Amino acid sequence: MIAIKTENLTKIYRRRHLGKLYKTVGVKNLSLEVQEGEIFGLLGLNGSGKTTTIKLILGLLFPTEGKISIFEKSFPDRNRLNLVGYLPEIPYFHKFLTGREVLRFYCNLSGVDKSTQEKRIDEILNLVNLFNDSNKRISEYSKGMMQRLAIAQSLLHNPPLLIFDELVSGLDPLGIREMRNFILSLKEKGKTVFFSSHLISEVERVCDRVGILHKGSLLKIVEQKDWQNKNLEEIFIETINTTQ
Amino acid sequence: MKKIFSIATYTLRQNIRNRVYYILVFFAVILIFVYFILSVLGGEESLRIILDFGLATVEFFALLLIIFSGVSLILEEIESKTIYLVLVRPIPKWYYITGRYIGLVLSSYIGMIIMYLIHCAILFYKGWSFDINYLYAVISSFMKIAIIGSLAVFFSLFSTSSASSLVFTFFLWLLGHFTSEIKFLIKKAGTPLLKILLEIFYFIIPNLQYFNWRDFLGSGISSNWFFIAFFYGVSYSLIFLILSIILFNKKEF
Amino acid sequence: MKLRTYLLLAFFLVLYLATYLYLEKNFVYPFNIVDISKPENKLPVEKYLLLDLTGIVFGVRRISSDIAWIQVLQYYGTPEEEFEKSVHNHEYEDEHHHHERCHHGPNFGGGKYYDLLKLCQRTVRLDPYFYYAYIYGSASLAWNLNRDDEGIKLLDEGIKNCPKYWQFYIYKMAIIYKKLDKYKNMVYLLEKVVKEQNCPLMVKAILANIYKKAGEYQKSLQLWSEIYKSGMSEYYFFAKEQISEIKKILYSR
Repeated sequence: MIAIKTENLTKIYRRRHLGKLYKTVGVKNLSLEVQEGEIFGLLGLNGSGKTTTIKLILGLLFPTEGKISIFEKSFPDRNRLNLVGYLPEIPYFHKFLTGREVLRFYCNLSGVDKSTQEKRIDEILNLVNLFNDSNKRISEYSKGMMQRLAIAQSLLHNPPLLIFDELVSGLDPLGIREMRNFILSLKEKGKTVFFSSHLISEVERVCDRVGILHKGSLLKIVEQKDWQNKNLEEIFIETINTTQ
Repeated sequence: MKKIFSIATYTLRQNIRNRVYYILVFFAVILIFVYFILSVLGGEESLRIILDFGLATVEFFALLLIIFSGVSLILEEIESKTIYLVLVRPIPKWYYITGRYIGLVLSSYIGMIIMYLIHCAILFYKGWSFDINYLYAVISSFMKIAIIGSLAVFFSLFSTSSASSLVFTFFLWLLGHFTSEIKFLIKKAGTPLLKILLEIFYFIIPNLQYFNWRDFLGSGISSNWFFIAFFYGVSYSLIFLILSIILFNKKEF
Repeated sequence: MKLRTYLLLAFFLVLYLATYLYLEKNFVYPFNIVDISKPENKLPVEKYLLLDLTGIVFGVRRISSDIAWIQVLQYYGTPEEEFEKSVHNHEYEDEHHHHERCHHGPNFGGGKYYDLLKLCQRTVRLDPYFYYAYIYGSASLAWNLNRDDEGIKLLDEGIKNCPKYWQFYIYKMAIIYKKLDKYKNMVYLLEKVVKEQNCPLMVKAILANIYKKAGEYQKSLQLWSEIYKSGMSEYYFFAKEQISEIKKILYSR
């Protein structure tokens, strides 16, 4: 099955300022397909439309044109969100709740069965090494802890698709390695991973396929075998320069 | 349904764990004790003074609570981006608004109940015997809070700053008590256009005089219309809640 | 947008309209009887006009009237300068000296208190259901200050606002009898109202003084005992004094 499918997805931001209408292109005519079980990376410079794409898939933004579907469930069916686990670039949690309360809250919203909730939360907390800190308030969490809690909340309802925005932003080298191994382990479990990043080296090591995004357009999709021979960075820069 | 309840609960927790909440409730309780002491100025009518000032204080503090929490309720979550992880869950968007609203109103109600209980304790101590009018006054205040709460949420989605929502909501609370004067103005209006405008204005403003029972305590007013006023308040609140939902559904993040 | 949302909105709009129309017809604002735009209900004290209007606008009329009443008691309870200057001797029983009007009596200081009627009117125009204010005010004006007509004026306002409150009629009649020097009739009526639960202590004191002056010591004693037994009040110590004084008179007979 196709995990994510976008067809001619376009998003134009409209802004009115002092009577004049300003239009900014977020993404234009974006068509891609992410296969179930693969790791797909969206590579692009800052401002190329990576976050826009992800927000469109998640329904946080509405497309100006085009279609999106997740496992063949398309917008505006909100039940499709049950199949997705989202990890934002910078996770924000409610400061007044404890780690465990946050997870419990999201379990409730994601429809995790009440009887299995606590077990599941414990399982996930152990997985991300937050079990001992689960009863502390979020206001006391370090950045790394918040990142790990973010991973935890994305896994609670055991979604088949995981979407990460800016995969390793703000992580230290150890954290990056942990994340890398984590993603590979997800693949082993048969999950689909879709993430955006501007860090070519990480994308190279993990992805099956990479989409190169530039100024809102999907320029090229590169397969792993393509960059085995050539450097992904070179391919990336070549692709961008061709369009200039 | 359970999911709405879940959102309501965490909203409640958010409000109750907020330091400002404690301070307001504490302050109100202190004031009630102050009235107890100052009531002696009223001579034989000291009980009436505790009764009147107490009821008004509880309502006023609840109003402060609901306006300040209400206008920042959703805006704050949008700005702090904590809303993202809620909106990527498989819940309809209206669950979010409804749950937040219910949590908001409940947190005000809980504070009010605490204050009312202390107020009653002091009244009983002074020899008061329970009067059904007190209950009507309490329910009326609850209704006012629900209405103002829905207005606060609506304005917070309508305007982009919490300051202007605050001003609008507070202004509507004032105007809501002013309704008999507006009616008077309608009668005195010169041109028919002005009359129509004022009539529309009068229709849109929540007539909070219907919920000012704490001012009608001695009036022997009959309670026949109170039941209908209850539905008036409920429908008004729900209208603005639905409007808020419509606005929220159109919002992008 | 979903059709369901708009249908729901329409439903509540209809419900709102229905309740709005019903309430427009059936709700009588209790304070219409003291519509301050009418000349007979004008707030009489210029000094406090702004304060009173603020209270009305904010929907706290009862509290405004409570404050107004406290101001009445403070006004009436403050010895007026002219009387302070004249020294009177307590041991010397002056037939024109009524103890209610002196320092040691319950109404502290003699004098004119020209504004008493106005202040009382202000109180009851803010809350026309403040029965105690009418009674206390008119009784003070009639029996303590000997301004029967002012007392009647205040009661007439009470009768206009609360025509079903029978006590106003009784008090008015009693004052009229006082004017006509019909002692027996006056006392008969006062006895009636003194038995009521909400009768101000001051009225009991007035009647007790009337009895004492007329030589009906037993009846006076009974009333003073009642006042004394009702606990700490401004009359407590004076009542105690009067009781021992009357007992002395009775035993010396």
